[in-house]
Parts: sequence; structure tokens; C-alpha cells
Amino acid sequence: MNNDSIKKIYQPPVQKQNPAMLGRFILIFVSGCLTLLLGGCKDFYDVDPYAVIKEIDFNKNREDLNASAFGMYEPLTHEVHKFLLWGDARADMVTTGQKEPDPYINEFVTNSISVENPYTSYAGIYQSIARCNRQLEKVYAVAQLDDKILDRDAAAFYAEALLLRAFNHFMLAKNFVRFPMMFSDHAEGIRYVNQAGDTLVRKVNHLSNDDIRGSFYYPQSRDQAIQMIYEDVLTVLGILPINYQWNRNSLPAQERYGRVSQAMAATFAAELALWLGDYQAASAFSNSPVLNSNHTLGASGTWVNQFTGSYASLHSLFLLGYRYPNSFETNRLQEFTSSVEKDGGRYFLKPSAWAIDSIFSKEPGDIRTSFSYKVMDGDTVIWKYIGSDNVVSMRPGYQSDASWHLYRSADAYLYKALADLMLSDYSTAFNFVNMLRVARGLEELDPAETNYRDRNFMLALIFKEKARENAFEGKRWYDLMLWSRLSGTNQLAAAVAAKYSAPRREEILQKLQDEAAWFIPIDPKLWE
Amino acid sequence: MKQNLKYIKAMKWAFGMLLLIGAAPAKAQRPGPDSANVIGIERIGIIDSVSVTPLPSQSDGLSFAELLPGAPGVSVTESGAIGAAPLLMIRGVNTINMNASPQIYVDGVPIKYARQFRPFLSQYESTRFGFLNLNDIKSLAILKNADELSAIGGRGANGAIFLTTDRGEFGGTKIEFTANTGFMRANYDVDRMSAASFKEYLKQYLSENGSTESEIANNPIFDASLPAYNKNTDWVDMITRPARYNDYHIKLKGGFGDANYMFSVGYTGKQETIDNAHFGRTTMRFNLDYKLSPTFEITNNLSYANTGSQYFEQGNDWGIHPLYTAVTKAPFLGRFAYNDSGEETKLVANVDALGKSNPWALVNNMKNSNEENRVDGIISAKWKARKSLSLNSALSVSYYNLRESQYRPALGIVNDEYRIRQNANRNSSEFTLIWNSFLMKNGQWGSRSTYATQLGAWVETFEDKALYARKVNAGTDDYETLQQGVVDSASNVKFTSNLSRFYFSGNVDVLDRIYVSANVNAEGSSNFGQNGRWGLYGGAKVYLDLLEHGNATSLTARAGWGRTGNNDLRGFYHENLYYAVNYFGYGGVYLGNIANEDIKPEVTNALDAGLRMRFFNNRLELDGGIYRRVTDNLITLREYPIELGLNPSLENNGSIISKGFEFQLNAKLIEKKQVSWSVFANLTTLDNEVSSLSNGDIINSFGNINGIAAPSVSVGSFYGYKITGVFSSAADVNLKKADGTNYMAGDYIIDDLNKDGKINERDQQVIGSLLPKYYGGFGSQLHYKRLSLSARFAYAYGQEIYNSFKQRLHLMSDYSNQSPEVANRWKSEAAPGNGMLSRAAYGDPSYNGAASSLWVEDGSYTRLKFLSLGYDVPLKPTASFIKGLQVKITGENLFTLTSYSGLDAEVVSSSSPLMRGIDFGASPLPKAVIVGIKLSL
Repeated sequence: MNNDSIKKIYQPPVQKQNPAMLGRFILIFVSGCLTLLLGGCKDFYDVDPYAVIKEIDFNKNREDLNASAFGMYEPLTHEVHKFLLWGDARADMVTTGQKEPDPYINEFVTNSISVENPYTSYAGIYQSIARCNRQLEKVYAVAQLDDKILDRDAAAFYAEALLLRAFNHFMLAKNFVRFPMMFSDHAEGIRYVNQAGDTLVRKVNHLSNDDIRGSFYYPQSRDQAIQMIYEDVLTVLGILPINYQWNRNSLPAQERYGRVSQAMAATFAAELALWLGDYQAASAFSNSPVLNSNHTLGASGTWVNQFTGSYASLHSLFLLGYRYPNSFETNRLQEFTSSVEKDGGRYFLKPSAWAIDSIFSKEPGDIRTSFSYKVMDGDTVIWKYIGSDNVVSMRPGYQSDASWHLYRSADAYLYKALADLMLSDYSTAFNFVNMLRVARGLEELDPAETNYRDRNFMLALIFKEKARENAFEGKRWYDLMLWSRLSGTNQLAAAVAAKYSAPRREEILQKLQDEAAWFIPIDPKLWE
Repeated sequence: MKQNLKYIKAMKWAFGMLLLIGAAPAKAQRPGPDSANVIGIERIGIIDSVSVTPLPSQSDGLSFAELLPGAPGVSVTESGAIGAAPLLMIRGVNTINMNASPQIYVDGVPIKYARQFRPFLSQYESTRFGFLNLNDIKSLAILKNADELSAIGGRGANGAIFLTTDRGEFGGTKIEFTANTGFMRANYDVDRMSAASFKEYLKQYLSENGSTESEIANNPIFDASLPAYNKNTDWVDMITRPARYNDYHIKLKGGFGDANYMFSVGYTGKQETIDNAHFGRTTMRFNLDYKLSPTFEITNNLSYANTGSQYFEQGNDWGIHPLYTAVTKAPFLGRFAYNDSGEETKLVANVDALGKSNPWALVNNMKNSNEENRVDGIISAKWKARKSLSLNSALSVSYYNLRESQYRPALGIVNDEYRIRQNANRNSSEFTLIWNSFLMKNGQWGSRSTYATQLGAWVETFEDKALYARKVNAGTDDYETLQQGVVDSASNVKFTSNLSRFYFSGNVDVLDRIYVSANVNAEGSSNFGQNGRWGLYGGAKVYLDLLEHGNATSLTARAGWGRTGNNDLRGFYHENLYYAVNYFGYGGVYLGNIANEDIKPEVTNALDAGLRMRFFNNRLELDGGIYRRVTDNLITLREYPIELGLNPSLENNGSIISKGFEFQLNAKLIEKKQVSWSVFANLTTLDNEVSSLSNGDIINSFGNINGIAAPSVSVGSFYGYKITGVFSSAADVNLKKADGTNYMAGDYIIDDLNKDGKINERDQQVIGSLLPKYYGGFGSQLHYKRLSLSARFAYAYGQEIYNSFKQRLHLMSDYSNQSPEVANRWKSEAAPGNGMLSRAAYGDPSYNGAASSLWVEDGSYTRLKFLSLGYDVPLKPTASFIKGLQVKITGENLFTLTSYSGLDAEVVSSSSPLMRGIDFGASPLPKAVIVGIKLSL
């Protein structure tokens, strides 16, 4: 037999043994081992992680709730380039910058989006929703543990999560062919009905993905979804205090604009009411942000600050913010819009010629015309996210920290104008448009020379003003959808088709006549 | 599972047959003359002896792994990067997401082979075994058999290696002085264009990418009157060199009465063939064995090692890859800057107009360095309660510290996005404390049967910590530390793992002819929650002599089964865990891990069986066997439907199989007093596939190159596009990009796998396999009087290499110097080239640089790893204080047989199973010549 591999190390010496003594010896040894095993073994195996927090150590106090609240917004900050694609690249004001365009970017520009396109993934939105639901689940339990959390505070944290969830649901409703709505925290368990009709709750990791998908709630129609979102926002308006100070000290700029607020909720409610045709409510909700002194329409001189310096300068109601200098937070907007390669610019998107010719004001003084886009070394570029002033200075390379605006005071003014227009209060509508024009450096429109009592004319006027105000902010597509709703005719198809040349123009016009083609197809299984 | 059952049935049948055969008259085995025990292996629960792996007596290796090429049972892939860890594989890859390297034990202390933290550079994984001076190694055993691995519990899925260090011996003090020195030279011949032809190519390139003739004419690069653009620089020669190796080691060994000791001090210095890359090591070791009384012995080990190394990027961070930069930088540029008057200065030239770093600056000014300090101490006591019964108890403490630094100045080096300059530091440490005690009992049943048993307990605590910071954009290049700049990233992590195990081993030799051995151990680990904490492992084997002992011929059959596992899960995935994020400069938190209370170690069931034959009084030995490992409960990521918004969580799901055949031959062809000549050969085949992955295929990417784990596919296969040619004209283009726009003439034609006319991720397919189909070694040892000559070859066949370096030299996506072959590229419909190279398009808008079959090559090789000539110098009896003098000269890697077109067919890109075999242009293994003496006093 092989001696290399099987020879025993211990050659057996032959010796008589005392079995009793041997037995005692082994017994002592085994007892010692078992004592070690059983005594104190819980602590031995129960090791605390260092860089992460266990459930038992978290959600104890106000600070934990506040940190969780920041966590709710964070997934959205990684998605703003997608918001630009979803809301603008598809629409009339944006086209591709590259000579040979990136295929997946180009799918948005050409309105031929495939399910394989990774930019269709809505995963980031659902991450935010999941964190909102977790917060909703935990707020009142944490409030029980921390005496410093008053009812008003708990309500504020609760309302914040509910409002952000509603906003996320609205993003889905405006964009996707099909989407489930998530109304509860699934981290601990999923409630579902089995084949026998019993309602069961099981841990998520004990269910198959098919079973999990089977438990999802899909709204019966887009309007039903918007109605449910609207109801959530109405709840928020009832419990979220006005100008709530999350940290109880002075309200820092980041909190005022980077977190949802009562003013944002009212603007959001106004928009939803417009979508649902409840113009009276829309008009009423618009009043709240218009009257809120923490947010103003601002002046043309400070308008660019929203993108270059002090986050918002009171203009903003809600934005996704980044702080490069001390935490290196960036987005991909510089990559998407800059033509400067050494700055990391890929020049995926640029303003369409049609937008420059037809949307932007050629009147002198409109700050938005001079800041929204520029011509740089022969390339027309979206300037909002790469410019650091209104002239030629640019944001440094790879420091793409321009805020992504979701609601501004101007939105509230324009929703007010739209609501009142739909209520046939033409003069109020006209006045609100003029207020915005003046604030951006334009002359007031002369009522004598403006057919302001013509609803369709005014709709076109307001949506053009909104396009200038919100240019390249990922809103145009939805504004065209809203315009279509308000006017009762398909405004989107013609507007979008206008940016193409023949024969593509006719093809797109045909395709977008069908409202079903307005939404992005998605195969969520591809992005798991 | 079905396959498992089938195997178990086969094994049962085999056992039955063995017992039947065993009924025939035979005599039991005895140790042969060449057997060798591995001292101390019982400390890890193995009480059978194992084969000792013969090692070359001289080499330029820095770690034990460099001694293993050609050794039976282990696949070794080395890198020419200084201090890089060779890739070791024993009977295949038996995990996907966990540590896939063998477990290493040094004097019974477990040490992980692969490093934990990602290196600062893209792929450099330094060895963690530089602390062990090769002159201190007494023996090395490769543990690969099923029962051996079951004995070490949840650490054996990928095999193990057991090393022991030298100890004192009874007798007077002996002093051994070893000195080796050597030279290394590597082949850096890379085809690239000369200064003149690259200039001509650049003109064409600019023209093909839209520049007008006047723009080209006005470009100063093409101005023949400017000396700055009319040099002829061999950048590769500038940064490469013949390298040196020095090794000095003194060992004092001895023993008297009740104490034996070994004390050694050593220094090793080695350079890489890239300028300024080097490794230095100082080691000290003191091993003491002391017999306090006839029944009580104490042994101590104490060692300290310090290593320092300097290394460079050799992965896919092309901007700072010295060799890639040297190959692709314009030869018409020079090392020094020019002033405004057009005169050459003595200042280092900055990043050039074509966007390339200065290779000289990369190897002289950029610094990547490691410093390691390691202390190991073991105290063990053995009490012989009776002659046949002993109690052993050992306490070992190990502390390991690694300080990694990176200094990246601005001058001559491209910016890393917004980082003009950067300094990074990481200070990581590991602490291991083990208490291990066991009882050993042996005895005899009757006159011809013996037994041995062991019962033990092992308690271990392990902790690693790492403190990391990077500062960027200091004011000047003068600051090489974290003193100045802005904090770009910082982290502070700690991981603690506690483990206990209780083990029992036993063997019995029945009637001197059947040898049965078994072990079982229960292991609890804090890496898992209550439901998955305890793992039960065990195994057994049987040996049977089929022929009567004492004959010139012997025949031994063997079979074994063992259950081992992989418990190296770093985390607390049985808990709900909250992770930190930032939003708008504020600290946020989110639920990042959903508790999986049931997560448990991966489990490997191993089977092996074989036959050993010896003929002519052991002068010819043949050994053949099969092995099969099935690893279940693979720890994989479960992705939830994205609508849940939850991070994926880990769960046990999936299995992987490795199987093959092993063969060994040892023959003593001549065995005379003055002359002896022996030869050996070994072969291992490998078939390693995933059998199931319920959570879907796993794809990992390195650069843009994917490796895939999918059912029925060799583990880690390259996954990309299959290219069938180049569109010669616009009329030929019949495929669309993902957005529906047409490819252009000159783009690669990609196999449209799903025939939808569109090329996207769904058209990716397996384009190569990185695992060898078979590997091994062969060699010879000749002794003639005082001369000895030995040779050892290593080979590996069937593996493929993704030649990313070559792809970059044919990519034509920027202003890099390229292979002269790009002259055959598609230039126009009138000049479509040879149909194998795409158009030259700046920025590669059609993704012609995507990972594709075009750059997958056969990586098979046979290499002469060691060729050694030794001479025992005859000494005059009068010089009695010198007991021996041996002179040796060894050549390494002198000869390689391969069809691979890259610098070296041995490619180490990552220890991760799915990211191996990618050639980013790392330094090739140099040819080395080492001369040395060994003086015994």
C-alpha cells in the first residue's frame, strides 16, 4: 500500500491501559469543550457589524427618521439623466448631439424605444417608493420611542414620505405603459391571496419572483392611478405643516428645496387637479405656493442661480440637489449635455433647431433664452447644466452638480393660469402669464393686442411660456400630454413631429396619434 | 442531485468490490523509503499522513506558490508583475461569489490566500505570503482528497495547502548560509509603428475622421521643422530593464538534550523588469521545541517579517499603464519638454497633445507601494498522559498589517477625471487568535490491527480593519502624502468573524491490509445566523492492498468521500442591515439588506477513487484516479422584482461541479551509487461547469470583458459578441444597432444570435473558456557523482485568453500608436482592407471595441519552469569547520512552447472565478538565471 499517503503519524505503541482512567480523561476533555461551546456562545457568535446598522439598533429616534428621510430621496438623484430622456429627449426641444449617436439615447430622440433599452428601467423610482413605504411603516413606532418627536413632527415625517411616494407614482403614471403601485413596505412581508382565497403574509425571500409579481396592484386605468395619487397628496396637505423646520433650527437651503414641502404639495395637487379636470381645486391649490413668502417668482437677475450657485434663490419648490464640494455628489447631466470631451462631456443631447426657432423668445431681455442654450465652438449645447454664468464660464469638468428642478414657483403661477383659463377666468390667466414674463425680463403682453379670451390661443401661449421656463428640465413631454388633455385634441403628436424632417415627421405624426404610443414600454425582468 | 445518487451507488459498488478483492491473501502496507510525513498536520484534524510535494531547491520566487508550477494536483498561473499572487487552483473552481482560492495553513494557522480589499490599481493582487521566506519552508503538502478536506470543515471547497516551517534537530549547532543572486530579462517585443509610419497613419486617421487637408497640414505635429515632434524614442526600452534578484539567508539549527531550536534571518530583494518596480523582504524566525519532562513538551514559533514593494498599473486603467502607454505613445515625441523657443529642456514632458502620459513619469514619479509587517506566535504544549494518549493544546496569535500608498502627481500623467493629483493611503490589519486543543489516542487490536483517534476543539477569532483615505488636487506635485488636498473618499471598515469547531478523526488498519479512516466535525461560524450557523462536515476513505506485500509489485486501490464547504462569507446577511448614503450633503440611511435567516455555508461533496501501482521494487510508480466535487448551496444574489425597490439579497441557490482524472508517474530509471536518474510526470484533467443557478446566470465584467457562470458552460467563460467579418460597403450592411440605425461600412459584422436584425446584449454568447482542460508537469532529476541536474516543466492546455492588450492595439479609437497590422483596416469601400479589421473611428461610435471573439486566443503552453545544475564542492578534511558547500545555477522560464501571440501565455487578471484569463499587457514572466551557494558550517 502506498506509504506516502496513508502511513499513520502515530505508530501505535503497545501498552496496557486502564479503561476507567482513560474514560475520565476523555470525559473531562469533552466536558470542557462542551462548556466552552454552550457557555457564552451566544455572544461569541453574535457579532455586531461595524460599517452598517442592524435593525435592532436603528429607528430609535428623530435622527434616525431624519436620516431615513434623506435615504428616500437618494435613489432619485441617480436618475435625473433618465428624467431628461423620458421628459425631453422624446419631445420636440431636444435631439442628439453626436455625429454617430449612442443607440440607446437615440431611441428616445427618435421615439423608437425598445424594451432592451437600459434607460427605460424605472428601478430607481421604486427604490425611492420602497424607502418611503418603510418610513411610513416606521414613523409612528419611532415616535413612541422618542419623546422629542411630537405629534406634529411625526405627522411631518409621515406626510413627507407619503408625498414623495405620490410624486414617484406620478412619474410612473406619466411615463410607462404599465406599472404597479406600491402602497406598503415589503421588506418585512408581502400580503397576498393564495389559491384557496386565504390572505397570507410571507417574507419576501420565501416567495418566488412570480408570486411576488402576482401580489402587485396594477391600476385599472391611468386616471384611476392619478386619482389615487391625488388622494394621497390631499392627505398630505391635511397633515404636513407649512414651512416645517425639519431640524428645528434655521431651515437650511438644502432642506427648504431638497425636501418636499407644503408648498410643493399644493403645486403638485394643482397639477394633479389639472390632469383630472378639477380646475376649481387646481386654481385654489395654486394660491398656496403663490402666496408663500418662502418661495417667489424671483427676478431675471437671480434666475440663473438655480442652476449655478445658491440652489434656488427662492425660485424653487422642490429639486434634487447635489453638493460636490464636500461630498462629491454629481449627476450625469454634464456627460449628457456637454460637448467638451475633457470635461467628461459625451454630447448625447442638444437643443433641436425647431425649439431654438420656435420656442425660445427672440425678444430682448429674456434670461431664459440666453441661459438655456448656447453655441459653443460651433456646437449648440444645453447650457443649463454646464454653464456657471450667463456668459461663457462653465462648470468644471466632472463636477456636474447642477440641481434638477421638479417644481418651481413658476410652475405654480402657470398652473394657476391654466386652471383659471379652464374656469374661463381669462384675465387672471392672462395676468399670471404676464407676471412670469416680467419676472424673466420680458415686456408684459398688451391685452389689447392679445386674444386672451381665446382658450386655445392662451393654452398655446401658456405652454410655450412653460416650455421656455422649463426648457430641458424633463417636463416638455408631460406638458404636451397635459395640453392635449386640456384642449381635448392631440397636441403632442404634431409638436413632437415638428422636430423631424420628412419623411420621419409624417411617420412620427402618425405613430403618436395613438395615445398608447406616448408611453415607454418596459420589461422589468430585464433590469432585475 | 441525480448525478450524486448515481455516484454514491457507484461508490457503494466499488466499496463492495474492494472488500471482495480484500478477501484474497495479502499483507499490510509499510512505510516506504521515500515517504515523508508532514509534521504537525494533526493540528488541523488530519491524522493520516499526506504526500509531501517536492519543491525546487533554488528559485527567484517570493512566495511558496512560485515553487509549485508542475507539481501534481495544482494549477499555477504566474504573473511577471512583482509581488503579484500567482493564481492557484486545486481540482477546479468550486464557488462563484465566494473566495475561490485554496485555503493555506502555515504551521497550522489558517491564512487566506487572496486579499480582501480591492487594490488601488485596477487588477494588481499582491501576494499575502511574502512574509514566509522560502528557505524557512520545511515541507509543503497539497490537500485535495475528499477526506482531507472534510477534516478542515468549511474551508476546504477549493483545496488547501499545508506548510510547515523548519525546526531544530538533535545535534550540535549547524549553520547554513544561503546566498543567491540572479538576473532576469523579459521579452517586451510588441509590434507597433515606427515614428515615421505612425505619423503617416495619424494623417490618414485624421483624414478618415473628418479633418480637412488644411487642418492636417497646419497641425504642428506634422511640421518637420519642429524638433519636439521629430524625435525617435523607444519608449518601451526607456521603461524596461534587466532586473536583479538577491537572496541571503542564515539559519542556525541544533538541539541538545531536551531542547531543539531553529533561528533564521533572511533578506530577499527582487526587481521587476519594469523600471523601479521592486520587492524587498526581511524575515526572522525562531522555532523552539522544549521537553520539560518526559511527559510534557512545549513548542514555540515566533516570526516577524517586513516587506516593501513598489509596483505599477498593469490592468485596464490604460492612462497610467506604463507598458501600454509606452507602446502606444507617439515615437516622434520625447521624454523632455520643449520651451517656447523650441529648445529641449531638462524638464519632464507633460501629457502630450495626443492625450498620452509620459511613460518615464509613470515609472519614476508615480508611486504605488505596499509595506507589510507580520508577526506570528504559537505556543503549544503536549502532555503525554500515557504512551498512547496525549493532550495537545496550542494558542496562536497572528497580526498582519498592510499599508498601501498611492501617489499620482500631475506632471506627465493624465488626469483621472476631476483628480489632477491624488494621494491615497490604506492601512489594513488582520488579527487572528486561535486556541486549539485535542486528545490523541492510539492503540492496537490484536497483533495485526492498529488504530488512532483524535478528538479536538478549535476556537478562533478573526478581525480585519481598514482605514482608507484619498485626497486629491493638492497644490503641487511636492506633496506625496495626505498632507494637502481635498478629501475625495474615505472609509473605515472592520469585520469580525468568530468560529469554533469540534472534530473527531480516527483510522484503523485492519489485518495489515485494509486501512479505513474517517473524520467528522461540527463547525459554528458567526458569519451566519442561528439557522445556518452550524455546519456538519465529515468524510471517510478506504485503502486496500490488492497484492501481497513484499512483492516487487504492489497494487493499491483507494476510495474516499468527504463533505467540506466554504464559510468565507463576509457580512451579516442574516440581519436586516441599514446602509449609509448621502443626499444633498446630508447623511441618509436605507434598508440595504433584507435578512436571510437561513443563509448557510456552501457545501461541497467530494468523491475520489484511484489505483496505485508500483513495479520493480518501487522504481516505477503509476497512480491514476478520478475526482468529482459537487458544490451545492452556492451563495448567489437573489434579485427581487425591481418594483419592490429592494437590494438583491444573498441566498443559497445553485450548484457547480468539477470533475476529472489525475495521473502520476514516477520512474527511477537508473539507481546506482554514482549515477541516478529519475523522471516524473503528472496530468490533471478538468471539467468544471455550473449545473444549476436558480437565480439566473451570473456575469461579472472587468473592463468591458464579461465572464459568465451559466448552466452547462465552463465556469468563467468569456461572454461577448462573435465577429464574422467587416462590412465592406454600405450596401452590405444588413444589421442595425440597438436603436435601429444601420451600422456603417467598416464596422464589424456581429453574429446576430436571435436573428432579429439588431445587435444588442441578447446577441452575446460564449466566446471562449478560461479554464484549462488539462494541466500538469513533467521533469527529470539526474545525479552523477557530485553533480546534479534537474528540470521541471509545467503545462496547461485548453484554456483561452482574452487578449485585451492586442485589441487595444487594433482599436483605432484614439490617437494611440497601433499595431502595423492596422494598415489592413477598412479605409473606404474602395480600400476595404483584409476584411478582418474595422474602420478607424474616433470614440468608437459603433462599439467595434466591444468584447468579441476576435481577441480570444488559445492560451495553451508548455514551459520549462526550472532547470537547475548543482555541484557539491569537495572539501578538504582539513577545512573541517566547513561541513558542506553546494554551488547551484538555475534557469527559470528559459523555454516556452505556445502559439499565444501576447507577451506571456500565463495571464493573471483576477482571482475572481469570472474575471480570470484577461491579458491587459501585464509584465511577462522573465527568463531568470540564478546562481547561488549554500554553505554549511
